[in-house]
Amino acid sequence: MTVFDFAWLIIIFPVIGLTFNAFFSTRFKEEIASYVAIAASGLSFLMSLVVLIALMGLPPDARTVHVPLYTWAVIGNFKLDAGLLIDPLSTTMLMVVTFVGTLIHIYSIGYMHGDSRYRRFFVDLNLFMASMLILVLGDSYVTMFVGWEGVGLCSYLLIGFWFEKEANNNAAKKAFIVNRVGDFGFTLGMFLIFATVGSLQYADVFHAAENGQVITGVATAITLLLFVGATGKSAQIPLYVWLPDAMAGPTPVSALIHAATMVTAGVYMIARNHPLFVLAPFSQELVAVVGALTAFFAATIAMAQFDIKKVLAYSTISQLGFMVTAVGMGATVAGIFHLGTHAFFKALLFLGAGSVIHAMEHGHHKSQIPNTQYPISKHDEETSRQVDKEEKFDPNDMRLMGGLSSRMPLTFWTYVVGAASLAGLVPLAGFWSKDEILGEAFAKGMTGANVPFMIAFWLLLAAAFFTAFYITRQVLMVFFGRPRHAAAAHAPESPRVMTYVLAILAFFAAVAGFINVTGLFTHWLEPEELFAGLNLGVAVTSIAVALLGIGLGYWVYRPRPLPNGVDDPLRTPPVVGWVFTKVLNPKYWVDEVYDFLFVNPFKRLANFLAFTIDWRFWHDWFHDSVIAAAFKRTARFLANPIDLGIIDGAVNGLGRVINWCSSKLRQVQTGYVRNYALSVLLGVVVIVAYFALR
Amino acid sequence: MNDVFPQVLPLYLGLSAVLFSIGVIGVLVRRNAIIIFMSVELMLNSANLAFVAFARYLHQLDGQIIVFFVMTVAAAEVAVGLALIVAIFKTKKSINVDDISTMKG
Repeated sequence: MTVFDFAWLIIIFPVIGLTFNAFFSTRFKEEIASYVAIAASGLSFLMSLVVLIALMGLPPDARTVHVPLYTWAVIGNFKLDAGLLIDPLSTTMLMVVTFVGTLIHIYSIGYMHGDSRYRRFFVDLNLFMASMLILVLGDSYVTMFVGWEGVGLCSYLLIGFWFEKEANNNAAKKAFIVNRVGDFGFTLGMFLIFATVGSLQYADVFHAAENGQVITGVATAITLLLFVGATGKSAQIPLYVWLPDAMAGPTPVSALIHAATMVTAGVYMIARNHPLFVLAPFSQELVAVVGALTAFFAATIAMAQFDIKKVLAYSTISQLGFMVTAVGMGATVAGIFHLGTHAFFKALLFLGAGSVIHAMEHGHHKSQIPNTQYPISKHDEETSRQVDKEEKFDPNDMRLMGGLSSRMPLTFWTYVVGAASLAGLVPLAGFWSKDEILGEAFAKGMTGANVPFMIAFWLLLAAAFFTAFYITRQVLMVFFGRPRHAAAAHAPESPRVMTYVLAILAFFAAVAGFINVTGLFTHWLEPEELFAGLNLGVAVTSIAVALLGIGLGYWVYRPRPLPNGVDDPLRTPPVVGWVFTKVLNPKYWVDEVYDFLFVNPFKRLANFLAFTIDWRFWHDWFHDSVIAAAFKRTARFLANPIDLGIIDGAVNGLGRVINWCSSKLRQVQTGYVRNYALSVLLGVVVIVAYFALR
Repeated sequence: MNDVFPQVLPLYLGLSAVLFSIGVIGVLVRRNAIIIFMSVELMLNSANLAFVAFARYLHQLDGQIIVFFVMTVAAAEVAVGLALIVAIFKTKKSINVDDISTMKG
């Protein structure tokens, strides 16, 4: 027995937590539910730490530990085992998921305080943790798929957490349905793998791939199908549209699921399937280009959004594009490295945004009720949104913010750290990981003279510029200048349980990058890979691009009075203003195009099926004219000829026969004594004759 | 002892049969209840005659004893019958049996 035999505890802790919270926590105070959930997540983290240390203790070539758990299903010759795969990749993911997850659990105490479904929130969070850990730890495609669908379900549940609002439900449904499209590709990929290799265990599949049993064409098909799944889960073109809408969920959810962990599942999946992608150069190039395109377009959209969380959502899509490009190019280390640092700084940014939103709501209430200490605990995002419905106060709208840096210093400073990390300023975490991706793209594209990778490099560099620009714009709009709304003027700093989490995340967003300055992380994840080190040219370029973006952002959005009726300085210049207003702010009209191409035809088809086929044809015509009519005719036949004719006729006929017989017999009773006497006599004569003549 | 009775037995039986037949015809054709009644008595007594004749012929007393019983029963029957006739007469003011046909089917 080694420590790895107990690795299943990592998954079990959240399961225990959610079971307790779902069934028993109503007997205790609300705080107990959050403490149990945090304990479950924290124990998971500690166990992951133990596994990490144990794995580090093994020699590099023995760091793939397979922990069989039980036989899941046996169908004929096909045996499906459920087990855990513990290797540097899954352990890295484990650490990211459990650590960031635990911090966000703690943050949620403050953020969800007073929510009417407080316990349920923690049940959902723990369910998400369990699903994500199954996804990461699974040793086969099927096990992974269980977690894959589990996190999708949690995503749906948590986006629609405040289900009183129609828009939230629609966002939840959109996320779920768009992800189904991706899952369709993923399952097809699984089928193709099974048809080719005959097994769905990673070990068998990768062994077959390395032995050349999977030809290039098949590998291309498999990897492209798997990539379809990744575009859904990791929000890449063309299936990214659900992620911005997913911001309807509570902000801790946006941070945990839709920024740090779940959306990176696609990246993890591609990284996990590296042995298959290596066999399919076309897939690798396509994945890299799609990732880079996503990174570029999402970054441009993020420049023109006013919702503080929408900006971060597009930023997440963009950063996921960086990761997908990296793993697509085969630079697994760079991709996973960026995944880890992004988890820190994007969770930080989201939680910081949550803190700002929280403060805006409280500030709004304070400004509504002057000289009254409004009881902070008595409301949450939802109730305040309902209260504010009349005057349409949107606490997410950056146009209403401004000047928050002095009112919420801790949120501000941590946010700046996260923003700088995202922008890629040296020496923060985002710089190191992003630079590694850019370096890999440069090495493979320029030095390797691969055109798609070269395109990817330039797109990523442009995306890095826009990233620096939009995050500068956001920081300036939110924290600098004068408050543009009474709510911003009255915004209080968030409770410590929130800001301390921000501080911890800010620390990691700052220093997490140092893990791979000397190649430590590369050596851990891919012991055989040679650590390239910093490409000085690329690094200088990327820093220059980031500084350029920040500088331009500052120049445009520097604190200054704006002309009346202009909410964004970019609206005024001639060409840029048109692009900003007509292209970027409406997000390239992608939702509208999708509505036109898919959603509306689908709705029309559904209406046709529902009203014409189902209702008019099936119900009205088929049921009325065929089933009901036939039934009526049968019933009439049974009623008239059968029941009335045969059955009633038989009964009535019997009665009539008896009636007739008795009316004839009755006439024997004449009432005349002589007749009776005569019949007695005749009887006697007959009897006597009988005796006499026999 | 030279008994001649066996030779004359048919005469007795013939008389008995004649009486019985007269009685039957009387019962069947007459409408007066009292006449019918008398005819019934005639039939009974014709039977009595036959009994007595056979008792003499067979040298057994059984027939004669039965005759006594018959006469007793006949007397009782007369009593009941006459009572019935009186009762009918009281209600119907008639002893014509054809008037008493309310039981006809």
